[in-house]
Amino acid sequence: MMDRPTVLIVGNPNVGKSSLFNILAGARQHTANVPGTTVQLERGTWRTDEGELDLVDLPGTYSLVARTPDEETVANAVAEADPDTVACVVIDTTAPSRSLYLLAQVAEEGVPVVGVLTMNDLSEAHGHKVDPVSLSRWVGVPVVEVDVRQGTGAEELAKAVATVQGSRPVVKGLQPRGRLSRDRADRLSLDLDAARDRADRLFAWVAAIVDHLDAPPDRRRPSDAIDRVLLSPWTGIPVFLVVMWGLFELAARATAPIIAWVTGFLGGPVANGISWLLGAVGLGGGWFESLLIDGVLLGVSTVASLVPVLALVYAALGVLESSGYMGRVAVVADRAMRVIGLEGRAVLPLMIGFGCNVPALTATRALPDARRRLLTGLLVPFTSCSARLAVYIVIAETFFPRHAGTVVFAANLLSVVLVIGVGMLLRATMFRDVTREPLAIILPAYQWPKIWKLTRSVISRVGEFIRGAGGIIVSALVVLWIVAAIPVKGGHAIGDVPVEDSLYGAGARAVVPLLEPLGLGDWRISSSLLTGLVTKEATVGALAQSYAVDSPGVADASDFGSEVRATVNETSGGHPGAAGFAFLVLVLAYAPCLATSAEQRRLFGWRWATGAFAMHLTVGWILATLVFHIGRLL
Amino acid sequence: MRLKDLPPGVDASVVAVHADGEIGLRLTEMGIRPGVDVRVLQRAGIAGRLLALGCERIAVDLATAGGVEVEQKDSR
Repeated sequence: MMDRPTVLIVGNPNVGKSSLFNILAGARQHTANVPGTTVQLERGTWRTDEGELDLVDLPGTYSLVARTPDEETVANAVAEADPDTVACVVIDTTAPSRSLYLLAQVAEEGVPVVGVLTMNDLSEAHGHKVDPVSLSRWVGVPVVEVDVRQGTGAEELAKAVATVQGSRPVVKGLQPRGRLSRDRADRLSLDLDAARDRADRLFAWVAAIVDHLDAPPDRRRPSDAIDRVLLSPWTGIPVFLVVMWGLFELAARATAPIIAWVTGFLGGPVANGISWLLGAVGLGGGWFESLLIDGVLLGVSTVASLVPVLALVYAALGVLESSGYMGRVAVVADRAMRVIGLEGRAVLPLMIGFGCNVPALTATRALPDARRRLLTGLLVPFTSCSARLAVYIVIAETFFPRHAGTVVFAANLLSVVLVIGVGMLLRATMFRDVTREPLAIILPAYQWPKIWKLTRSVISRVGEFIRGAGGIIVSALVVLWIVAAIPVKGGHAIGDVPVEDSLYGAGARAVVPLLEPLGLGDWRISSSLLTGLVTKEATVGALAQSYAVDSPGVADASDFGSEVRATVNETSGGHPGAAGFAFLVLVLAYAPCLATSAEQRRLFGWRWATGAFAMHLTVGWILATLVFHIGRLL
Repeated sequence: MRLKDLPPGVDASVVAVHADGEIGLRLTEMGIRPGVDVRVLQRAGIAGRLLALGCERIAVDLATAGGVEVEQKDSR
């Protein structure tokens, strides 16, 4: 790319930044990821009479004192701006102080600024208008009005950008801090008192400007009527639960047929196609075909079957965030979450976790600081996802046929207790620095989500997941295939081994002593748990498979159940109920699934993902052992 | 009078902000500073307050609202 000057679009959340970006860039835009983060940026090309400009739509922020990754992205973009970079600061005339404060911060960083008025029609409807010419006079830099609905004002903005690039006007009453104190470490270590003094000084400057403007009318906004419902605890909490329920229903119902089609397509026509192709080149029927179909293709199918759910949840998160509802949820849930030492915003990832842990981890990005994101991200896999639910139902029907419903409910309740308990434990040990943070958040007016932006963001996030976690999932399934394909006894050929005689079976046997204290010391159970490390829903299938191997001809489901019961009756010394419940607890807690671990690694790194895995094994094992021994006494 | 004791719908003006560290900075950055007009719109969540600063809306918890000293404005 040629060295084109960059124009940064900076502004508070929900002030029409993306609409402005869209008008300027038109179709010449794409979504890009900020390296090393989960933050997304919209980049585009702005063709003006003066030449082409690189346009960057930065995430919405109220301040350059960064707290979230989004805000840090903006702060870095401003601090590391090239000398020919210009910042277009969007000014919300319904909240001019907040916009001008941000403008002042950007100007103090030494970046030439142009003010952009975009929401004037809204404030005109309120009988209040800001005149760009007089505002420009008071601030000392160009202020341009752009009508984001009609698309007028873009040429004038282009001229203003060209002007400030040349003349670099200084905002009246402010002193750019110079480029010396620009490096990142310096800015991050800026101490709180200094930052507060600076905020005070800038706000005094803002107040002087705002005095010149017509005071925005202090009347109720349309959003206030909605807030009366959504912020009241009596209605806000039920509404939130209904929203979550709706999301789960949608995720389950709308995606099931797509997942069925995708897995059917990959397992049917694609698998057959591969077999045919291999047959045609003389490689058919052997271990290589099995590796491709039962290893690689199974991995691809596992990743593909996650995509519909992820896309839907990412879209839902996007809607919740951009509509302004996320902030309200944070307020309503604040008190309840505080009891367990987290803040209101953490409720969303933890709730989504009960559907699927993978997008729940992605949802932790709404939390303002890295340590809280990590803490919540470590708790998410303790939320009992719907895949585990399927396993509970089978276990409960096997061991507690008359109380299956109650037992499944108890498992979910235990999941909540675990989130609270492990959360308190982590906060008392490794997360002592995470203190209770007071609640103070700005609630922007509600807004309709922008479909085009949402769609691109969903595509980009799904792509990131496939690139970041997909490879790990496919490789792990290939490794699993290899382990299951290598015979350790019985003179079988590679790729044609009964589970029992494979390296996988040997591994399952090796784990058996660990399961003995839980009353579950049987290789078939350990083998199903090993498979459950990949996907939870595969636990039952693996168990059934290992039984089918043991006694061919028994395929009946009820017989399978009674066989498992008989096995556990033996391994538990006559306490199948206690051991059955211990099995349930293990399924709940012993490990995140492969996709969850892969996503943890993507967000928090290898160390934390491995640590989390070890924590699950420990917590799950201790808990299941306790459950078995206490249950045995009852 | 503290902001947490201000009845909803009553206009007041901020006299002082007694908050240190991070939350002090955040309140300042939100424009909650001496001389600013503020009004409580409603309760927010279980024990919070929804504040109106002109057209802007800010939600704070009770502890934070307790740290903001306000003066009721004459209503007549």
